[in-house]
Amino acid sequence: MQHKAYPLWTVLCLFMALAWTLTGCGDSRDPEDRAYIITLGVEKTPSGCLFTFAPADTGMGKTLFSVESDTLSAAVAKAESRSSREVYLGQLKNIICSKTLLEDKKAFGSLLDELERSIRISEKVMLLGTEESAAKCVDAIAKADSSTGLFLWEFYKNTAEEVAVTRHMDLDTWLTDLRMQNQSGILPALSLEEEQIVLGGGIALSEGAYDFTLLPLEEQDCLLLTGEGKGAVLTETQNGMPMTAEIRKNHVTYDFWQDNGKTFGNIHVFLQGALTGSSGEIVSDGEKRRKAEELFATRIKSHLENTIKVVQQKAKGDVLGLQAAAERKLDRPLQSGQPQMTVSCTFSLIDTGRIR
Amino acid sequence: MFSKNDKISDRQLTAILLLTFLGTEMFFLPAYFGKTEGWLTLLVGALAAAAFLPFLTLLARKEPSFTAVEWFRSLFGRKVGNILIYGLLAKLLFDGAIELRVFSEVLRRIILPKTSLWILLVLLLLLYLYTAQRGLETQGRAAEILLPFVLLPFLLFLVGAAFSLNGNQVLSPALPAPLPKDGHIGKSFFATQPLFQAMNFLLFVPPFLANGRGSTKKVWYAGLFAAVTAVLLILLSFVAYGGESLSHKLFAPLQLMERVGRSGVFFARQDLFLVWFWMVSAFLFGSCSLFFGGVCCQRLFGRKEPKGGIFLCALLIFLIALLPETMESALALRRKLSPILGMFYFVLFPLLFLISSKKGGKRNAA
Amino acid sequence: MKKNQKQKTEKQITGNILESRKTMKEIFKDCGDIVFRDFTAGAHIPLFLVFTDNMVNSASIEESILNNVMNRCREEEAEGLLPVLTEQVISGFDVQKAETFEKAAEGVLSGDTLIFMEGSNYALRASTKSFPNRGVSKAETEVVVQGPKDAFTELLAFNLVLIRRRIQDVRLKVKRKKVGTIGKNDAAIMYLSHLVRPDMLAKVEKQLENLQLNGILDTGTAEQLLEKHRMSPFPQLQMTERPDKAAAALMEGRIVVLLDNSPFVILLPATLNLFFQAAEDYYERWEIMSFIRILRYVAAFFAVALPGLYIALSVYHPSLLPTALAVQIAKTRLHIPFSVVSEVVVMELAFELLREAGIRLPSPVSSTIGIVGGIIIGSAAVEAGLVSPAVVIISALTGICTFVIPNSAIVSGLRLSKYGIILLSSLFGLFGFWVGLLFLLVHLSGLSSYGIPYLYPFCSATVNDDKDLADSIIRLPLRKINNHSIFGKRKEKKGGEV
Repeated sequence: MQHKAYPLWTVLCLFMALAWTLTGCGDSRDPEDRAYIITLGVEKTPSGCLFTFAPADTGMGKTLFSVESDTLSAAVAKAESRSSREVYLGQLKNIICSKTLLEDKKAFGSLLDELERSIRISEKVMLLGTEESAAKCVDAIAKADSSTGLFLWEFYKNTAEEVAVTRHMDLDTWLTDLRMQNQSGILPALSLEEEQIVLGGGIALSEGAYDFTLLPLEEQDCLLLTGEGKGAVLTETQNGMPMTAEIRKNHVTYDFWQDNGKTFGNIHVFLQGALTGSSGEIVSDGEKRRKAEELFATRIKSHLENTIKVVQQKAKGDVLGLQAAAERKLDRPLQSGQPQMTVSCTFSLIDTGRIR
Repeated sequence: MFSKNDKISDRQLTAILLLTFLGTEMFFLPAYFGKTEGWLTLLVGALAAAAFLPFLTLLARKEPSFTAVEWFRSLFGRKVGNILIYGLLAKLLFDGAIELRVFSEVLRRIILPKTSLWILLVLLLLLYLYTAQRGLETQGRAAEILLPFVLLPFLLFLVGAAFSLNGNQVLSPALPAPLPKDGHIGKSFFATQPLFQAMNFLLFVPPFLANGRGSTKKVWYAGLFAAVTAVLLILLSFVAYGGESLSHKLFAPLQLMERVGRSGVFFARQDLFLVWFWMVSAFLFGSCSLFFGGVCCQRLFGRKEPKGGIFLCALLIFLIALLPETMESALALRRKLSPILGMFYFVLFPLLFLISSKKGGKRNAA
Repeated sequence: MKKNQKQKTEKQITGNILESRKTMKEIFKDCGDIVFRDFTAGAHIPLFLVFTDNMVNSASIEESILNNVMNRCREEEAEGLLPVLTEQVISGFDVQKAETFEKAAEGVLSGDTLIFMEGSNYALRASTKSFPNRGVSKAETEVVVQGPKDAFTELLAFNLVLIRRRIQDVRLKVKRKKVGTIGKNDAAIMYLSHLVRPDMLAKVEKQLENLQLNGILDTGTAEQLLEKHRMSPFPQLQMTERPDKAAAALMEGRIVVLLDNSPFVILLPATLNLFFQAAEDYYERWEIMSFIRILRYVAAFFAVALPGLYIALSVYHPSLLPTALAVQIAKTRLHIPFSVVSEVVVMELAFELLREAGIRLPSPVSSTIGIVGGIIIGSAAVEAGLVSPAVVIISALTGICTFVIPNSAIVSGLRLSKYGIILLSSLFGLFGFWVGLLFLLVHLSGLSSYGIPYLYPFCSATVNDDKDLADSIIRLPLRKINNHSIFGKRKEKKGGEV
């Protein structure tokens, strides 16, 4: 098939010239002309929301800036009107929402909507809640950081997740949880202890607004209930001696049934752990090992049932997602509200440590 | 293939079909089918749609030198046949234009939000034109080379997305799935039509096949693969996000595959890179639409070469692409028109052709 | 050539030696390097020799012609002298007849000695060629660690021998041609008769015969004239200075075109895959060679794509980069006065300048230029804040990638394509980058070399049952490599496929 490519090449060259001159390459910006925002803090103020932006250090020093506005987009526009660089949210890693924002359902919902629709913001951005001022938290994070601003991100990745202190809650997971659980869920919590950042505990939201705060142990129990407890360190006492087990594997299965219009459920928690101390006798004695396993299983079961009870009593919504799970399983909406849950636990020791 | 006779092999045809089946419709199917039984409905509907693929290849076996132009003329005579061919040409151009428009909009929303739509449309169209002009052999070779660079990473990402699901979630929201309700299968059959819009090409490709007789199986496998992939995508999306969340998501497959992540991997985000899969699909679909549009014009108007027809089709595609106001209206238009036209041109007419060919006798393409 | 001159050369040689001498003198008027030597033989029969000074073996003329003719032909009469000279006297290995002055002049200019005799209507053309040449030396552009190191020279005769030594088969044929309307350069087409495709051979012969150029001074010129897609920056014929590579090509069924005065030969047809193969790929183990081949392809991709990708990611989509990298790039660019696009283009052009300067300069100086240009200017520019270190690294890496590819002709195509992708990336980011790659792919897919798709065996490999994939991006063990490659003669299938 013969073809003459000259007219096409001419058209292409003309088009390129036109594209160069007319479009202005609207989406392009040199790297140094952007302020890469790594952490964002949002809190509610009487006149709107206070957005605190923490950009990465690109040689111009770490200059946090705060802007008051109703929405994130307006805040960005306002910030850009006072900055020589584009406020770029493409590298955003953490968003910290203060309690004041979480208590305002509409404001928080509006922020989530903006985050969901933004093409710039990745769905992997981490979402955290705090009872403190978001601006203070952002400031503390900036101070703790020695380089690019990834302190919190690395904190999560290297330690917090590893020891099951808190769940990795990214935007995608959070929005999914909210939709599945009727606008309820648990945000990981960030707090300040003498200017030191601490990750632990959780902030429960019901029907889109702040409900209550979970203690660190309760948060850990929630992680065990969702099968994300790997890395958790559990301590029990046997014969006056503390026994510590590090969870190596955590798997759960849910079962739901209905009886006389009430919904019941059982969570079977499978745990595999490794003893990290006081294991001398257990190594050689199978009976003692079995007893240790039973001890852990019993105590964990009771902790978890207690946590479920406490949370269900406190929460207005389906914070733990149990109702949503039951509805999916039974394929019908539950008229009776939250299911009554029991927990069964199987704990096995797969590693009893090394005796030197 | 080697004698510059513009013929493509079975493998090249399969590559073109596999890549074009991964069209922009994949972006929106999860939102449409995001229900507990949605994936099963889609599977049945998609398999039913794919089942008609072999009929089109059987036509190639009967008359290897015939395209739809000759088939229509032989069956309905010149006058009526020409009218139907114009309808088919319009469908071909419409599908190409909507795909171009939808993909340009996807690019604008995801990659280049501040760039004018017309610039994206023109640049894509120039790429299609350049490719179409060089003939089907060039497109077949390009498709054959692009196949491993698209399909393998795509499947890897699907597998990665499956592994990224919470272990407790795996399949539990989706199984056991209730059987699809009566009307749903028919609906899903129509809804999956845009997925198989590359069937347009099967009506024109027979004279360009090096071995027309051996292609039936491969074409059907390609359709099957597309159906299974679409179902897998929807299943995984449903498990990951649930029905409520899924119905809000515009580009669920991208978000699903964006979940894949490993520590130590160079790129922290990969959603923009994933658009590459659809870039290739849109590229091949557009260039093949132009090429076969040119072939249709060539045979319709008795020209020596399809080149003039290609340019005319390019212009028409550009104009049609500008017509819908938004991407959503373009999609809605496609969902309305494609199934109806598809029923006629992929189901009814091929069956009529096959029945008439069984009666035997020399076919006169008039 | 003027009409009179042409008429003279086409004239038949008569028996009048004075007239013949006059005609030859007129033909070679003002040619100070043409020597005329008069002598007698037999019964005082006048003869004269014509040859080109320094193009002949003087010793051979003296001993096998002059000495023998003068001393051994005392008694013979004119009538039977020339046949006697041919059969019994002149001891040179090749003696032919020249009936016209054109053929005689051709012989003189090609290094033969012409012997004219009174009473004879033809001249004898004795082969006494002895050209100045530099001998068989090492290959300079295709260096190997393991394998033969000899290379072709400017002498066609030597080059033919270098190939003959490697293929001692009667089916290795050599067809001699003259190319160029004025230059009339010697050319040779070599092929193995049982392997070559007859249609391809016929086409090549016809193409060479129809070349309308004053002179073809190098195979590079011939290559450009023989190619089908002349506007493409990618070579469709392969050139080599290695006899082993030429021999291997012949054994695949390909054709070798040699030109006198050129140390490079043309191998055709050629596919992209062949440009990524070096001679030593078959002399070392398959595992390491497969790894190196994959490296070459990856390097080719980086050579084309790296600068464009850098622009697309850093300017349009920094969200795709790891945060630390994006921030570091921004940090190092803080006081750079130029945009990323200008920086990249300037550095790429600077590298091209360095590359060109390195080729032209004498070798003692060129390495200094490499050090001065590459290291000193590069780091000085970074310290002066004119360019960022990232761009210097990108440009250097791109340049290094081009050196990994064994064939410089394909590198030229890649170098040019790179700028197209830079342009598209600078306008449209990642989308422009993809469009550039697709344009390039479509362009390459549309090329062919004597009917073989340029991207074979990555496409259309089913024609040879995918056997040629065993020697493509990886090189399988030699036993698994197909002996019947696609280039050779094949049975015709239905539908005109071969």
